[in-house]
Amino acid sequence: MVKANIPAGQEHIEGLGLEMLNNSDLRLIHEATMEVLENIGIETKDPEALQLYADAGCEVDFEKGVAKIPEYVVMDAIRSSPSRVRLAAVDKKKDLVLRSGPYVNWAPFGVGIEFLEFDANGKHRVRASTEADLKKSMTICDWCDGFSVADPTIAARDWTENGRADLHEVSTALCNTTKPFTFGEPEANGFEDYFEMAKLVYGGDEELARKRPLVNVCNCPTSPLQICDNSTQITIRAARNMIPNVVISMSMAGGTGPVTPEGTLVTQNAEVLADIVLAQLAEKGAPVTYGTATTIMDLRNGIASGGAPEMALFSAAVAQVSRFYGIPCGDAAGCWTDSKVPDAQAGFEKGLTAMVPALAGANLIFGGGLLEMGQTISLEQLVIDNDVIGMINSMLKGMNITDSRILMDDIEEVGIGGHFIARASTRKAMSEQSSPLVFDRNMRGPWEKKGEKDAALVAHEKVEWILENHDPCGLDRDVVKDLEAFVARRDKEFLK
Amino acid sequence: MSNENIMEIIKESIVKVDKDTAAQAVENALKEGFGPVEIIEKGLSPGMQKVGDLFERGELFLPQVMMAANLMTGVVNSLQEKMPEGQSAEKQSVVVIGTVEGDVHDIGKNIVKILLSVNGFEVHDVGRDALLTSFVEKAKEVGANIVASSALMTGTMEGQRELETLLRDAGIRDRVKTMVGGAPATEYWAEKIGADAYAENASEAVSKARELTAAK
Ligand code: B12
Repeated sequence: MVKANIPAGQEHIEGLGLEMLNNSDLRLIHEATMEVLENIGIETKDPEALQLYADAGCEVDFEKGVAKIPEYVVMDAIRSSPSRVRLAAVDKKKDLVLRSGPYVNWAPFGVGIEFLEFDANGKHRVRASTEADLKKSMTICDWCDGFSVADPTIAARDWTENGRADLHEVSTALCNTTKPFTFGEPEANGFEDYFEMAKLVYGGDEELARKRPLVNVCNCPTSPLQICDNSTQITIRAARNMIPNVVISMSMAGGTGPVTPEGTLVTQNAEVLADIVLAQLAEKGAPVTYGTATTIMDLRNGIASGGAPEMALFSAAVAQVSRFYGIPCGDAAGCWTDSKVPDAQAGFEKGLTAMVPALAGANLIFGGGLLEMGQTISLEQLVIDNDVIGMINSMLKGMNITDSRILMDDIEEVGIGGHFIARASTRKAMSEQSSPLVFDRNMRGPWEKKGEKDAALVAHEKVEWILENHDPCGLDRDVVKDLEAFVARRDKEFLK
Repeated sequence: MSNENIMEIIKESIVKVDKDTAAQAVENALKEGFGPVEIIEKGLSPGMQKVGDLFERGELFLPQVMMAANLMTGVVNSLQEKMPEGQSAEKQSVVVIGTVEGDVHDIGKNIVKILLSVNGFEVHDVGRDALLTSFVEKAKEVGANIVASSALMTGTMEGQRELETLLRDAGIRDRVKTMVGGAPATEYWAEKIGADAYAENASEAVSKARELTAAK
């Protein structure tokens, strides 16, 4: 069973937590952001978006495509953004409600373009990802109880030239998980098709398809301070259809943001808020979440580092900033790495970047399965990350110092010497203990007997087991056929 | 001051991004009778070359490379004003570069652009999310030797193939070499769409561009 909304220790809630920014820090970030939005503004070439900004009272230069957004417009938008966003699932029981409090959930990464193939000898090679890989990845994410959502992690590149790759991805997702998901690379003009597919899942029930949208979307502003047409249109269309829209800034400090994390925190805040303002102007109350994949540009080679400690700081800061605004925080980057294979570097960077935003109470942390800053996905890494997530969830519980938890009766009864292993209290609380699936906790002897396997190899065996034994599909056979037929029709049109 | 020495100072001033020394050394060189073209070819260009080498070896960071490139451009511009009518530095190979339609990822493209110009190519940038026709028009306008396109998404790389067709339709495909790059592109992709070269990163882009123009 998926564990949802694990609280990190904040305010009155028990558990372990971290508050990096205090209230005056948050005020300062907010005020600086308002300076930026009012005086510099945001650029977009989309006339519809510019008109929405203008009608709301922004100072808009239609020729240059710049909207300067006054604070009251931003504050109105923040007020009308919901504090809870429901991500609906094929299986209603698995709906995830993102709440703007310190409640932690986990997502895999999306959307990579390379697939790391692993063989039983621990050898790997990388190649362009396919629809079949995506199906496997969906199955793994559906099975792993660390992930509350099962976002499509890789592109169906075998379809980019031969059909509508985006629809293949959406259909593969719908057919291979009963968890909610966000589609990471939506096309603004694909919305009707995504809706039609959700309708097929609901047996043609249009009202249900509107009420419980299944294809949530994501869009990224272009740093610094721009939103491209595809993004503005995704935001507007998602809002008008009340489809949850995950807004993620991917600013790079030193490249597309100021070199200091503090400065980039401000510019990325301006970008995300401008996008959220647009959503609220298109439709008051539109479900949006505040995300981040902001990190540093490594100034030696220009890459966006996914394993940098600075990324963890950004995600932790964004968790607080979004909570300050009362908007759920998702997706925030965490459990990321720059490593190309599931190795020591991956383990450390992932642990580090997952832990810090979790302690800060980010509501949806995404990165599971990711390697090479998001370029590459590995099924083995998904299973390993599931363990990383489980262990961090255990840590978030912190210690809850109460009389009942101290178990004084047991202490007295066992007294000096003896042991607690066979106590009723021990058996009762057994499941509270952290228990990773692939991380080995044996001493050397038993480990040697089991074949001296490292975590990646154990994960590989687990992957094979899941693929063999887990059926992730929650749809009737007929619905699957309908979806396939729908996509095939669109493929034909695409090729014409 | 020996000739080598003064060129060495100009070269080092570029590597160290030392504006004052560069200006002073160039002025001295002009006084000593060096021509503007000679200063560019024996002082400034080798300086940029060294910057490129140091970047590739990880000893210089991007901001230093960009600042060196800016300094070099400034000095070259001021020298150009002093050039006698009709004289110019040896004609460099001309590259048109851009990120294809529908794609706003331009960080990689910009790095390739800088390294190409650092290494003596004349680069014209059509920007990002650039209409494929703008690559063609620019190539005609500047008499490009190479048309280089960047695509970062599986959904936009198709533009690289279309560009091949557009160049053919415009009747200039046999006059230019084409080069593709960006994360989803591969050697195989280049071959498949009939592009002349693929490069995985910026320094490889430079050596491929050199090969392409040497073969012309
Ligand atoms: C930064 C970034 C952004 C920034 C771009 C900012 C900018 N000004 O460029 C922003 C936030 C705007 C952005 C937006 C989006 N992005 Co983006 N983005 C990235 C990211 C993290 C880094 C890209 C980058 O700059 N790399 C660093 C540079 C130095 O590397 P490079 O580009 O590969 O360039 C090198 C080589 O390829 C080569 N090269 C490059 N060009 C050329 C050209 C030639 C001729 C040659 C020879 C060589 C060459 O040399 C370069 C230097 O060594 C990548 C993921 C990743 N880690 O790669 C995703 C990524 C490319 N984005 C992705 C996506 C999905 C998007 C969005 C659609 C998200 C959304 N839902 O809105 C939008 C797209 C908007 C659009 N229409 O284009 C996906 C693409 C998936 C796919 N199917 O292809 C990626 C892979 C991330 C992911 N896994 O989800 N993104």
